[in-house]
Amino acid sequence: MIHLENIMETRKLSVKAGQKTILDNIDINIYRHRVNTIVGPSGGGKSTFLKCLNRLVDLDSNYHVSGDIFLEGKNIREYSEIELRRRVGMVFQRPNPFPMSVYDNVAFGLRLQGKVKQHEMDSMVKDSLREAGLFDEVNDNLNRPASTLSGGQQQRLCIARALILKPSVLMLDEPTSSLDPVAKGRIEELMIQLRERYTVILVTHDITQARKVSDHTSMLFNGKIIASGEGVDFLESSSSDAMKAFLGDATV
Amino acid sequence: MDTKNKFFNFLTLLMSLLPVFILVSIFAFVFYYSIPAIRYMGVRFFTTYLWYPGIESRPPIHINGVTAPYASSYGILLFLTGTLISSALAIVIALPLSFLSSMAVELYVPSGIKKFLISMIELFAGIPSVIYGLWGIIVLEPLLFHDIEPWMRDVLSTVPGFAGEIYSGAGILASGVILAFMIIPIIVSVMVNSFDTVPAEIKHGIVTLGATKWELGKYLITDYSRMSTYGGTLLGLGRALGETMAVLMVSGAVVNVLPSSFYSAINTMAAAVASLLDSAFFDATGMSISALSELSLVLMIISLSVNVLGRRIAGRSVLRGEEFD
Repeated sequence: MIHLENIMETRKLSVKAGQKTILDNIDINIYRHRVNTIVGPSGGGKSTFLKCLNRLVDLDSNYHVSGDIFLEGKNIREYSEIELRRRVGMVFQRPNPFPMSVYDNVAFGLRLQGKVKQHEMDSMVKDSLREAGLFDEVNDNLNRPASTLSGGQQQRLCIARALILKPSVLMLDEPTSSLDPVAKGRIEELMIQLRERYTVILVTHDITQARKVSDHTSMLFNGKIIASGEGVDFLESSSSDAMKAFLGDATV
Repeated sequence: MDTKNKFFNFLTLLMSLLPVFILVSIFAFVFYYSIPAIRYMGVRFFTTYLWYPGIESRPPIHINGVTAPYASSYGILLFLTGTLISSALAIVIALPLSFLSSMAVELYVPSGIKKFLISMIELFAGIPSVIYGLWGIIVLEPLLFHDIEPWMRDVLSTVPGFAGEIYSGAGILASGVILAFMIIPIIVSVMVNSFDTVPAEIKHGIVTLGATKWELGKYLITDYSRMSTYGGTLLGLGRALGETMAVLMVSGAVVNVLPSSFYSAINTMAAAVASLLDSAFFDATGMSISALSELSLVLMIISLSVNVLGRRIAGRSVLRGEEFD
């Protein structure tokens, strides 16, 4: 029996945009050092769910959030937005390197935190690139513009940029949806490696990807969690029509 | 029907060429009228500040094949200096205020109020310059004369340019402040537009790394969209360089006296053309009109160059935003 420890949890989390309910009473546990996967069809509220966990959703005044989210047992409202976002890192669907060098991209978050000695920064940038599995590919010239990297490399750069802040949780919002199969495979391997040091939350509509990497899976459909459990296989035994339709579409 | 179409095509072609035709013809007209002054003054046109219409009672003189009033001199050094100093001062005042306004509009006010503020800022750009000038005379000049300039002289007396006589409140500072108010809407407008063209992924990427709103805005305006910021500033500068009426009202409109401090009266190229044109018609040789044409030509070249450069730079950065979208 594996002992599972919560690092984050949501209680009665609901999000509305005007009259439309995007998330409806979500109770979910995020387990430490696991790949926690949220699967479901597009438009089901997966990305909004992630944006609630680091309060990115607060940037849009059209969204109204209710319910509670806890990080390490403490309500996320008790953290400053800045501290919360440093502890709950996020990587987006499309690689979003800033128009600057590889080095400066990775060091960006560190520089925001204030003065860090140059040799410490060098070492942390390299460590983060190693953790993201990118170091060997870019080490010959860290000053090259990030835009010259391939899509897969750019996405791993974004992961390195998030990792340099040593987050407790790393959220990945469909991180491979714009990548070719080889680059996608690299990121999937990386997710499995990263869970040893970080807690990973993966949002995906790709059930095959969930099968490869997920330790704990929740199915989000029309703003509601309709199934949740260890691994992915339990989803197959569901009798829900929504689940069957999703799995049928996803395996095509 | 075919004839109608042909006529319509011809008409639209004609209309599309009209702006080019107008611009070229104005340039040609101004250049043509400048030729006698160019031949009379040569390079001294730029190196002397003496603007003197000559002595009417003495016979005109003939130099380089042109006729000019006796002892006349047409030097634009004072106007050039006044234009550059007042415009530079306007930029120095307007840039930080525009930056703060853009930050406030983009990051600190709710979206409903944001739209209202942007429309207000756009309205500011539409206020006739004579109203700015009137406000300058009634409100700004007394304020500068009685309060601000004496205070500045006391506090900054050791800084070059800030010691010296205070005359009336009209002058460099008043011109700089008025011009700053006039160009802030232009710079804010470009900054806000460039802000909006930054892809959401980039903004969210910065925020998720723990950036504060201030850090986000500072990075976007001074780094990510810095070319837009430069472009907007140059467009503002273009407006400041060519502004006539408001500056004419608050500058003191002096001739033949170079400024000795920031409190000195001044004159600019555009204001000089407006204020000296009337008397120039009394010059029977036509040289005064020609000199004002040359002054206009120089102003036109500087303003157009700054505007073209500003538009190119601002446009390029918008393209860069799309590239990353």
